[in-house]
Amino acid sequence: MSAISLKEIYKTYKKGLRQRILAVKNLSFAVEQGEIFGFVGPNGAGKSTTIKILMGLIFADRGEARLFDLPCSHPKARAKVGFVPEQPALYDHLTGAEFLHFAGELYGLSKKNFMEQALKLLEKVGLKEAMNLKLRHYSKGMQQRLVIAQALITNPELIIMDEPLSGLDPIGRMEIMDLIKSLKEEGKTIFFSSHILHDVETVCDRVALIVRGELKFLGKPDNIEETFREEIQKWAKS
Amino acid sequence: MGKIISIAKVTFKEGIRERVFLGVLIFVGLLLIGSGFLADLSIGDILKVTQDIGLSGLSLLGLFVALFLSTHLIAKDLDKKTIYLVVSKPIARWQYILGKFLGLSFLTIFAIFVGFIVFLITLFYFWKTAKIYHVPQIAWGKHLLAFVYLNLKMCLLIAVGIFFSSFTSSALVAFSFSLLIYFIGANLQNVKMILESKVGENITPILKSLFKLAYWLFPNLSLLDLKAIAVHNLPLNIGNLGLSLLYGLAYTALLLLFASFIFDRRELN
Repeated sequence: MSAISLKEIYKTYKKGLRQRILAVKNLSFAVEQGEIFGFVGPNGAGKSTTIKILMGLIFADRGEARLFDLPCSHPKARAKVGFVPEQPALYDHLTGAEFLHFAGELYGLSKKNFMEQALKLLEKVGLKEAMNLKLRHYSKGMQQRLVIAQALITNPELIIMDEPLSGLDPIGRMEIMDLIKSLKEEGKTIFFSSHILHDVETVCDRVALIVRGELKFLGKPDNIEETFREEIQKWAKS
Repeated sequence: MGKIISIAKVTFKEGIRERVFLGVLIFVGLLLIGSGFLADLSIGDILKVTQDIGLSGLSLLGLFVALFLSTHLIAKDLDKKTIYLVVSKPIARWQYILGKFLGLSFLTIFAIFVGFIVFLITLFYFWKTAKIYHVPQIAWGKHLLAFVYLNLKMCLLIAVGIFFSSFTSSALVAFSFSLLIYFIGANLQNVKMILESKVGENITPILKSLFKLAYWLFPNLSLLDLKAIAVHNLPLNIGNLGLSLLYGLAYTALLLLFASFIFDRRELN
């Protein structure tokens, strides 16, 4: 059973009354359990759209998106999944610990199970000292680490991350990359989108390259920079 | 149910820490305390005017908290994408809607309760110290009933706010439509009375039919307004009160059902 499976996904957005923009076109691939999968492409390629479809935030016009063999629109499909959206605002009236508690409750965790896991996670992401601080006092990097922590609160089998490195300084990026590597060692399945090819090349087992909503490459990340350049040149010419 | 309660708790905390909430609470608190002094300046029964101002102040407080916060907090969740962190969990969208509704209802009831206590203390003080020839009896029990029905009315308005927020991302649009519904709902009974009176005989049948349609479509908020009964100590009709209670609950439930249906199909871009 694949962790993620996408079959012939199409998605268009309305622009104005009549115009429609094709965001994703005939997208098909699968992510196997235990692999680190990079989803790369230039800005506006359809990466976030695909991730939103997977998380049930928006709906595909056509095709089939599944998480652990369940339709992704079904709440149960998300039970084994932790999600890191791209730069969301947090409930800034909560403390770091309260926010993790909230996330745990949404997964149906009891407080007893949650406390131990929350402390471990806060330590792992380096926020144990700041756990009782209100989120409005957190820096961008701290907020991003907390968003990752909330995605890991149930020790999920699959972690989906949308541009987890965007907006971070080099140290912040390094910390998140280290975290992804440690999750890989734990045997988690990780699906993350990025446009920073070097990071993808270092950590991923496989990558998918998407340009203007179409899958252009699927395989090992060895020559991803070259492939990316070629595809972008083709796209610029067209 | 735990997930719904969890969303309700976060919504309650978020609302209570809104500066504008505290501002309105202080303003209405001062209005309630000052109601006796304002009544002193008026012609007529001082205590009745105190009660009138007090209960109107409570309505104003409830209206603000119910409509402004219900539309503002959901729009904020959507606009800042905080909602991604909630609905990406194994919860259904209707659970989010219900959680928001409960949180906002607790918040509104809490605000009205605080205002009601201030109002009762103020009223009691002016009742005990009134320098008038005939000090009337205050219908304390009916005030309590008016408080309960005011809360029910505000819960219905929260459901109106959530209904509009379920398909628009603009807090201003949702608030404006909700306010419009409030004004229509608060005046439906009066218009009905006018139409049934002699004045109504001159109104065209088409207009009358339109009004009948509006009467069934919009919430009749006058049914949940017991201010006059409390202030003037009017007799209670238990049957009507029971029906009004059922009406309020059913209308609220229906609005939440529609809101959940729409929100379930909404794309969260």
